[in-house]
Amino acid sequence: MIQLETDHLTYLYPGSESPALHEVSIKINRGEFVAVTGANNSGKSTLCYAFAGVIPHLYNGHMKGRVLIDGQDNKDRTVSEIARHLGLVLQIPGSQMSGVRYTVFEEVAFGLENRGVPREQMLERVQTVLALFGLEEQATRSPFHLSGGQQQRLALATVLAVDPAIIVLDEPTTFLDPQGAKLVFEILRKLQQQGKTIIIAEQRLDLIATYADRVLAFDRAKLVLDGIPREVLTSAMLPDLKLKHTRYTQVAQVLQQKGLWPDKLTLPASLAETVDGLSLRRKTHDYLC
Amino acid sequence: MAPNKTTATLFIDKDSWLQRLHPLTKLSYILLTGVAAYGGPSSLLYICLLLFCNAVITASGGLLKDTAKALLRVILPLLLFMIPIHSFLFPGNRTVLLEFHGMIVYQEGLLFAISTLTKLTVVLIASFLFVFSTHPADLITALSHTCRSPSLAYLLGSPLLLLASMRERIETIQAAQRARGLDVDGNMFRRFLSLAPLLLPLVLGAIVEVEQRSIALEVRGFKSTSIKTSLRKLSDSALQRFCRWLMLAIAAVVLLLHGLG
Repeated sequence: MIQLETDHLTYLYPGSESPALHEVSIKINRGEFVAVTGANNSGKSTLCYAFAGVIPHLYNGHMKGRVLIDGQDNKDRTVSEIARHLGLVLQIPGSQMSGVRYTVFEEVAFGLENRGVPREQMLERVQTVLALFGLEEQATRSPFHLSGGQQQRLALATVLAVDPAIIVLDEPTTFLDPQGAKLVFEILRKLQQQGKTIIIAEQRLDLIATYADRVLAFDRAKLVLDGIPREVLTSAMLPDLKLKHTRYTQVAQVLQQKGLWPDKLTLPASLAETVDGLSLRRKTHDYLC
Repeated sequence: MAPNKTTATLFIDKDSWLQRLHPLTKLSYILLTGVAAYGGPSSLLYICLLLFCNAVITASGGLLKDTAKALLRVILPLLLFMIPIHSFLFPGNRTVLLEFHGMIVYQEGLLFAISTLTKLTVVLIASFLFVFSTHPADLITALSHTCRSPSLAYLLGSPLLLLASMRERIETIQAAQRARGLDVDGNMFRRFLSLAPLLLPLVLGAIVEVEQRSIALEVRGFKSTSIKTSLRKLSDSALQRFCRWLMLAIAAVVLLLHGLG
């Protein structure tokens, strides 16, 4: 069932001559885990902003086309109204902080206060979310005194606390180490299992390959690839988009050149796919011998 | 949830009646004190009476020591400048109080300086009392509940909080500049020279952050028109509300009388 849709979306930032998004049409189903990838300035963040209604409501650029959430046009709703359905996590975690709350606990509660959630319910919800992100011990600290990784988790927690049906994340792992980035994706997978729709702008293709159901690749404002991770991330077009194949694809390419990868099998993008491919080759080899 | 000590705030966490008072009651008190000091009778005795009342309130709230320290830091430099300047140069000087090596100290100027400083002290004590006994988050909560505009509450409440992040950014920029060989320490002149390369990235960074933060506030429902709730509990009562209105009414009457001459 389609939950989020862009219909021939084109957007130009104020003062810019070239569009940040050009004729982008996407349909995203409820419960999908979609990764949006591409080089810098390819349109990933702009797409995230368009989903959240930041574009066109907070920027006076030129927009054509529509963005629909559950069939309703974002233009007809305020950003606050859209936020009831969709939560946006910004790229710089410090910017996600309200600036008017003194502790991590209060920061997480901020969105709930704005939605008029009763205090008792708020306390319970904040505690649950802090536990989910391993931030209980930081509850009394100032949000501005957390490490980059902790701030990133807090940014996610603030969005998750209000329980939106769609979560849009604009490169949330930029300031995280590999372990921290993996943790974010693990949490997102759990949320997807709970029925949330996840849309993440991301350049770590290894993680996308493992966790996403679908990948959208952008190049200079245009959607150029749309498909399952294995299809998109092993595409020969990827280097043209200034993206590198995952290490698993690269290893399989070398194996393929040496005739060690099963001929009719698509190249892998993730570890699991690589193992599958190698197991298949082993079975074929054993059978022939 | 009380913040830890790393938070940039002047709030002193004590369990006194002053701390428990609603922030708007304390704000009304500051207003009344200011109006009473500058709009009331100009006799020194009256000002000293106001000073005494403020001191008693501060002491009963357990904030006398902290207030005295802060007050000294502000008043002492002013005292050192104002007393001699007005004693020697006040335009209404007539009565010679004492003469020393050709320098004449006049009574009128001295009294004017003392009166001005005492009025200022009265207002400062009330202000310190407010700052030391009110957690900024409580102030923001109170303002958010009272103001119809959340933006105004944000404007009034956010500067103190954002100081911490600003300080952090300054340290990061300075560390980066040190790493590239710029001397940001040393004497006054060197420090002054290092200001320019600090200010540009600081201001540009702040502009970007303001844009990002305004987006974050919007998408977190800050401007939502629905009824908001609050995590922080503020104690208020009918008596406090009555006192607030009473203080505002007295302030208005004093101002009116002052205006009528």
